[in-house]
Amino acid sequence: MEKRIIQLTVNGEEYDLAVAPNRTLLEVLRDDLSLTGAKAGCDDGACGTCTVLLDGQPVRSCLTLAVEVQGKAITTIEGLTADGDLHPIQQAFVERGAIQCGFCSPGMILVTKTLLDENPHPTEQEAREAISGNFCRCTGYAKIVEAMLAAAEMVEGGCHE
Amino acid sequence: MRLPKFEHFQPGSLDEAVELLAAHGREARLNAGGTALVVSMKQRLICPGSLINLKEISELDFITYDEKAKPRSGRRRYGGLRIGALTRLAKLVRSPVVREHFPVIVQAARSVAAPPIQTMGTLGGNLCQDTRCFYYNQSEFWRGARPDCFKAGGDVCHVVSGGDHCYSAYQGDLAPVLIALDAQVKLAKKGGERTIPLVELYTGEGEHPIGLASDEVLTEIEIPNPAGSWSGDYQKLRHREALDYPLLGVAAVLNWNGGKCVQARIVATAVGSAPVVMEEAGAILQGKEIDEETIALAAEAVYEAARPVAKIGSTPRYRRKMARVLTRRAIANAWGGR
Amino acid sequence: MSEHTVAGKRMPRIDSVAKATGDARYTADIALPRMLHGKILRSPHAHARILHIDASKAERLSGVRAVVTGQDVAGVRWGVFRYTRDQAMLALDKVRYIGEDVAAVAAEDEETALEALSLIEVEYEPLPAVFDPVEAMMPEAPRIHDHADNNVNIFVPIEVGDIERGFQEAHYVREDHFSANEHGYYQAEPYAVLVDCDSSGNLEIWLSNASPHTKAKALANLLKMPLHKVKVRKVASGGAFGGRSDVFPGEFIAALLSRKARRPVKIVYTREESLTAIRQVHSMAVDVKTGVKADGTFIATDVKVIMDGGAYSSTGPIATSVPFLVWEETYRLPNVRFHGYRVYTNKPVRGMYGSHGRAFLGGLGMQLDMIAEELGIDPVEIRLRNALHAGDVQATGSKVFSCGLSESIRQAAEKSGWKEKRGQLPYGKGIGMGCNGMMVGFPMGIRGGSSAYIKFNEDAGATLISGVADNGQGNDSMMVQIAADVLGMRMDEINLVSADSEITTLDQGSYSQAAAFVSGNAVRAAAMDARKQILEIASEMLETDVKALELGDHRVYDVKDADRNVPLHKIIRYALLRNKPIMGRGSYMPHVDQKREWVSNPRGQQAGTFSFGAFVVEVEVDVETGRVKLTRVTGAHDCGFAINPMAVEGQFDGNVGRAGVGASLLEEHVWDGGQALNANMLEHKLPLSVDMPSVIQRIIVESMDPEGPFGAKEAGLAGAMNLFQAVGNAIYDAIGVWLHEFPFTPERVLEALEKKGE
Repeated sequence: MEKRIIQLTVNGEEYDLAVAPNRTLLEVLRDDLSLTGAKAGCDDGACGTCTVLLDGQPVRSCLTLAVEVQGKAITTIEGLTADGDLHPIQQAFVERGAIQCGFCSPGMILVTKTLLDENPHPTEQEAREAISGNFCRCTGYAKIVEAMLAAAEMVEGGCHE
Repeated sequence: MRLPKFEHFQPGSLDEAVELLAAHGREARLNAGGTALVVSMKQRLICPGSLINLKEISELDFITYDEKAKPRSGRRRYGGLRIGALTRLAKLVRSPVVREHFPVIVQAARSVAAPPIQTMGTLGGNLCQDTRCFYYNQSEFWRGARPDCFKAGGDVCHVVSGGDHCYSAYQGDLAPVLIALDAQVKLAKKGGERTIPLVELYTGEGEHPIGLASDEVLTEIEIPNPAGSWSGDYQKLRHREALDYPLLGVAAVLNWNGGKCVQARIVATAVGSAPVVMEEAGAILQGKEIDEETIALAAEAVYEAARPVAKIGSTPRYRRKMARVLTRRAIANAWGGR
Repeated sequence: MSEHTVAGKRMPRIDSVAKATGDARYTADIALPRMLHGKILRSPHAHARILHIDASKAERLSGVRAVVTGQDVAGVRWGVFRYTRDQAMLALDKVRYIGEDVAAVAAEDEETALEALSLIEVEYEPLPAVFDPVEAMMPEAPRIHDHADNNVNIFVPIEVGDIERGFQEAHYVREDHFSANEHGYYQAEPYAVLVDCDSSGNLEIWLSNASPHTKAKALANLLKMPLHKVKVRKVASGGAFGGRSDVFPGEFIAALLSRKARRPVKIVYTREESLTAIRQVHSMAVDVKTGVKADGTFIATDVKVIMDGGAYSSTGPIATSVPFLVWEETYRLPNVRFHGYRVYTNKPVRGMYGSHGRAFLGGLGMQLDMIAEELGIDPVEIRLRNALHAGDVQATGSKVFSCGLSESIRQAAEKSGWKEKRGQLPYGKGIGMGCNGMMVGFPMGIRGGSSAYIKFNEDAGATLISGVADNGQGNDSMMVQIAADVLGMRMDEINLVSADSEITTLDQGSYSQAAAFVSGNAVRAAAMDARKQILEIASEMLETDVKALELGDHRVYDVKDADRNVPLHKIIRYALLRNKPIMGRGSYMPHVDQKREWVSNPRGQQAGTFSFGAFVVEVEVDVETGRVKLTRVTGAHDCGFAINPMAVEGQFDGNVGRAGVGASLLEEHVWDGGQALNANMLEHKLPLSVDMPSVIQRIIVESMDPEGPFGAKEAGLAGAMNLFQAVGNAIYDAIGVWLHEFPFTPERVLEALEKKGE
């Protein structure tokens, strides 16, 4: 099993990497690119802390092979802060106390971005369903949902990034 | 957990894919969405010599709908849906034609896991998912503490003491609905293809539940337009509102004319190593005006036929009882959707 | 100081931005130069003798830099208490549960480390094993530890008053049995540890913890090193809930490997390892016999609990006692007998959890409702009649200072619409209540107190140094909020250096719910001390009596003439010149009876103070499937004073998830022998966003504790110990059945309904 050279586009930047086929996108992001915002929280794709956006849609990077995603736009949590300013979603999470231990937060925030891109005025139920695949042990999800709805107000008509 | 080593192929077309399958067949595995396969590989349940990634085969990613009647190989089939096997479940959920013409498929697809899994998972992958059991779906270390079970290549079942075969459960959500809709599937290999009713894809054997040859790939699912008026419903038993596989699932598709049910298909999942068509329940409803009494009789028939065994959560006794409840609800909802 | 500038306000936390951007670094995120990867070989046997370990092939594998086995640490045993030292961190002669640590390697990369593990040869002689605590206590059961007869790890006997007479005098007596399976912590962050050893043998350690000082001391003992050479550093922590407090083989093993290889070693556990090789949550079987007077007040309480502790003690004495102590911290109990047994089995080790004792407190709370029904008393009323008040003394001798229990009960009842709903909702819907008191700051000897200090920069920014630990509940931010309030500064002007065993002074950690009460008090004292020094210097500069001066808005001013003032930065500089640099220091030790001991002397002041709470839950039961859903929660919690109300609310919400939905309805591990069949995040049913009630009413009750900083006590356990009482009681109100086994899965609910229908 040889390494192969692949090009990954992460947060708008292109990277040339030598990667063995059996490495997941999560491993490559964390170990090769030092983008540690995506986490390894479980062994079976159940928790969602590894969430990244692939062409704008949330996926489990722990179940995705790095060699599979050449040519796709990968967005990690680190890609959300433009020019050092917090994205409105991040702002909302901070202001609403939606972050406790923070381990689930990158995943939650990225899922929120997709939701608001597609549905700028979600209901509470829609917000809950959007994060139904992301596990949080600390917050009981209440303030996360609050923050998601507050972010919708702040973003006003969707994120255009 | 780390993945084992393997060769990786990324065919750009179906032709390339079947060539690779012909060449590597036995020690190759097809990777569609990866949501199940990659986990099994981390657990060392499956260690393929090579992985054939299907994600770039755009010709297998499509949804088409045809309203017209169209005779097909001697049988009268009335147009309907054609869905490429690589179509993501999320795309099914969003598809205007599926939502309009086959809402029960959307209902089932929406119930699968959670949105990010629906984004990754494909219809073909969901239909061809492996059977499951608490004693099987575990890491290599966990399984090393006891002898290998039948499904893992050993000669014992940890669920049924003295059992002589595997009792693992098929837990797909889409299969019961599509079987109830008389779906057919196209299977391709180098040099040819065959089309079979979806229900025949399932062997009922826990060790090898999917009847795909090692050089075959599922390419397409065809769902004919049901004759006349119809409605469907899918009831899924789980203890949480998301993420979980069904502990039991019942799909009901009813065709009616006037006030009577002309045809009923009741199909259950998670009751055995394959989805089970509940023939008797369907027969009970056929030709009848469906009321509480007929529904109860049909539900009882499903209860009688359902013999869940596998250790997949909850208890077989409870899951069997719920077969009555889910059947009743599925039929009532489908009938109420007239 | 009359008004609060910052304390009591809803403030975003100081660590939230880093967590929102992905900058926050958890242990697994840290990479050091020349770092090695460690992996641990684990026992596949529940109980076995180790006859022989041969690691030579692993040592010779290219890329392997260190290998350790039990032989490297023969004789070293760990125990939270001196009398519970039963765990060899690397098994030497025996393994006692599937997953126990047997050997470990450190290699250049993960793959090599895994390959090396497969080359280690271990010869085992399997022994008969036992997996049920009642069976384990029988004479013929296999003996797991030489020192433990009948495999009893801990026995806590508490006797107060005259229990027999109490029952004789009782108007009504009932006996009930409750039980709960074991479940798990499932913090979002799996276990990971990184240890670096420098050329002088100093160790630097990063890992999620509830107190760096506790970890440092334990490792120093185990490694036979002085404390100043064992430095546990600050790192972001992905949740604890009681599961990071203890000391685990992983950190000891990483330290051994790092010392041997003289390079940094990182060990990252899989989720499976995190669930089986760290700690799990006890299962319990509880027998309760309670006698009450005609008015429903308690006269005799006799409780016996058998807890499955797994293979080693962990925090055994505490875990065994706490469920009972929580009950005595809630109600007046004149006559008591409590027998708590923690029993060894050949299962993974169990520890303290935030919602520890669901069968115990859930059972007692449900039995109270049963008693209320028998006597024709409303459940809210019966609780008010028994509730502790300020000035009361608890059964084993703790005085109650501030007490908002009755207030919490009343407010929760009122705001939930109790009167209109109880007994009057349509079949399938119900409402129920649970309440409890909770110890804050218990005796831990020298480790039970905290100290802090503050230094100032010449431009008047400050750095606060405190040993407080933050696992996500917001402790770090709380300390800064306290200091900022005392000093009239903004929170963003005060840095915090915390949870570093080298730099910060001793602190009790986030045990005994003490961060606000103990660490917060130390910080407040340090800030007050700094304030005093600032005022004294300013008094010199302004030639005005200190008593006429006030500190606020970055200056000290004359209260009678605000134009007479001097800015803070000038005071700092003047003080430096005068060789009296402003350095605030403060400490706090809760007033507890240090002679009190969990097992040998369970008497005396248990805690510095007590928080109280009452939660009301509404449920909807699908009577065909047995599925229970929480529709509405109204919780009231007396936290003394809410330093950050937004953070307090977050604790309510989290406990509704963990205790109200998770522990009450969903979570349990299913076992086959020594293995859990569902120890993973898919099959151990953890509450998801769509499983939560959409209405959570959070009522903050402030009894203004005389000792607590600004009156604060604790908030992290708001609802944690009473939600399962409320859920069980609500289910009874909904469908008329009592459930005796946790969690209340649909199967159990349906079975109870069917039994009732017979």
